[in-house]
Amino acid sequence: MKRSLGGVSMIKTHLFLMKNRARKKWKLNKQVFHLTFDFTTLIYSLFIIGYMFIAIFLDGNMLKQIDELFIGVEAFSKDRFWFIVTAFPVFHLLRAYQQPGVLFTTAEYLLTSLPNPRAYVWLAVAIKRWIRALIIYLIAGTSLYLFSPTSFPLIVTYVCLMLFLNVLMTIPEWKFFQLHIWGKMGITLFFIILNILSFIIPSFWIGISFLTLLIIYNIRTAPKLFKGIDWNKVTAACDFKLWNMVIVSHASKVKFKKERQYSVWQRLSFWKKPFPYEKKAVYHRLWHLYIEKNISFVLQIVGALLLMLFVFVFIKDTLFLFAIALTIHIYTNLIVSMFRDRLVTDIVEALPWDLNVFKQTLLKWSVIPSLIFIFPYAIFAYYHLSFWLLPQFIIIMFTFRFLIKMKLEKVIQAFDDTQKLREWVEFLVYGLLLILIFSNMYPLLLILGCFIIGVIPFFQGRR
Amino acid sequence: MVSLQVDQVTTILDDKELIKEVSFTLREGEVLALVGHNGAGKSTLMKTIMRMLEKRKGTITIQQYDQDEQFLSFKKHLSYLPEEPILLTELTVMQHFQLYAMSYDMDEVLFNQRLDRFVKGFELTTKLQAYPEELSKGMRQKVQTICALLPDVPVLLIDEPFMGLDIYAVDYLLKLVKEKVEQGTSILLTTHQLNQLQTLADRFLLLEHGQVKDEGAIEQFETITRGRFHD
Repeated sequence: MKRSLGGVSMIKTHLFLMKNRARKKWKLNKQVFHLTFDFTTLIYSLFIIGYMFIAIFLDGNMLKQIDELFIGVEAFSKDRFWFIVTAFPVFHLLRAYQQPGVLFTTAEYLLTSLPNPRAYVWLAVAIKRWIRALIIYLIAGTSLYLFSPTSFPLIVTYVCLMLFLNVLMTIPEWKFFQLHIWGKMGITLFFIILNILSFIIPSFWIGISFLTLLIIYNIRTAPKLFKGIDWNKVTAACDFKLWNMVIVSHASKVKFKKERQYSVWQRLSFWKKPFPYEKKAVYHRLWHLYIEKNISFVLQIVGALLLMLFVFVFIKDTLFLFAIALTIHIYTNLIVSMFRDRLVTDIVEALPWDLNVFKQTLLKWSVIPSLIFIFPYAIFAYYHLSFWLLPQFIIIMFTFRFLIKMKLEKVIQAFDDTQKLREWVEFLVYGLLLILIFSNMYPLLLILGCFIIGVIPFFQGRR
Repeated sequence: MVSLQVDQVTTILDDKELIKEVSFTLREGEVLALVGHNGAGKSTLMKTIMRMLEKRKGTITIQQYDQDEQFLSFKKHLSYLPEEPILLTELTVMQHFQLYAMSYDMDEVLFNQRLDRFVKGFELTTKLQAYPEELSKGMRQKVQTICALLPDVPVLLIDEPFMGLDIYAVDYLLKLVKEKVEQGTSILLTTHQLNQLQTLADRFLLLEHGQVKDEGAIEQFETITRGRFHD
């Protein structure tokens, strides 16, 4: 009786908390809305959205045009059901690099200091997560049913599957978030390999074994849910997720910052030693610190690109090569955005910059994660052994190198007007990407590509 | 010779004019005190000169280097001592000093000589291997002060330099600032400690709600403040 009374009071307190939280968020969003839209802008925006909807979906017959795509996706979903069973949890894992999956903020933590069992609070938040997921999947499923030829039984099957996996992944995400980065990477790699196997050997047994293991893991881990939990890390990540409202942050120009986390390197004696008196040494350290602080984000991007490559390598050659070109483009953009951001972050913002040394040191750091992309290419090479592989691989390597150097030099050019790149360089480098995409269909393009690689260094001379 | 020229600078944030059409010059070896009420725009002006905040209009030049056209060279001629230390948690005190020295291309021998002197003067000899989190607030301020004073630059921006420093450190800092001035460094400083102003500054610039309200010789500033208090 005492416990049920406590449970009821806990539910009331939690609902009170959620209600006030929603009210505060609504108020913030309303302020942003008023800042962003006036009456005239709002009316015009509604007209534009309405016109686009009519143009695309009614007059443009967009739905008929993408019907084939939906039919293909439906066939894939039926054939590869058990692959999706093992692939979908990977997205949960990638998310768990930065959040524990259950939104246990400081407010929830304070609730546990009142006479509310921590497990009850956790479960209440978890149930909220599941309800939210159910609503999203139902909306998505209903939209698919109404606007696509996808069959109703398949939609229901997948809505149930997504929800089931969402529930089953709650505890793994919670525990995964606590792991050291190497542990996280090891488990992610295991999942990627599992999915490769699941794709190569379309197997009911791999999927069923995976689900069984997941259920067993949940049963065994549930009693030890709060063992080894760093509550500071959990509440910091959840507070950030809850209140870092991107639109509000952008409109108000106020950044919500995460609490500082202390590096494991700081305890090592060699880390404290004075640097050799050269800029490269200190800039390497600055990059180390910066990348460490942003490692989750970097790994999410790299992980997503890797997953894309591992999937496409088994679908179609041109698609895989397109994926490689896209990976090079996205990865180099990531490096460039880190370069720009580094200059305006912390103490570096107040100091003079030697941009060339910053660039050189960053280039060295950028190579390490990029090596992982060799693995899907190795699989591609295994299935497409030919003389053309060598020039293709050379073009991939050099395209990456040229593109990243070119993009970084463009950033430097914005600060140092005396150094200008030749416009031809950009044209040639992007030409290499195109050559790469079509290199399997037209292998002779690779010869042209190798020629371009030879001439680019001449064009890279500065004015 | 003019070291720093600020001309019609306006800084806007969230549609609010934080600084409006501020103009002034700072000559070689001159100390200009930036004074005003809380929220007048003193720190904002300093951050705008540093380009930590983007100006909407106006020009800022250090010697012949324009902030917009030659930003990299501009930065090398400027050192900044912020009100709150901006030290990295992950670097030791010594590593911070090295970072500053190398960023300003300081000669290693000169760096070591100067560091030895400053560290002794600010009593941080035993703290070189410590991380900022292991230091008291005052010690962190000392570290930041040394960092800003290490390089030889034409312009030094100092925002509330005496906050958190003990009386010995204040004395030592005053001595170092005077040395810098004698060597030709121009200093733009903000402080609420009016008793230090007379000792240090040659001129004052009074900001009110982001605009220049008054400027002149430091002796005139004492008259203005006396007048305000007795109104």
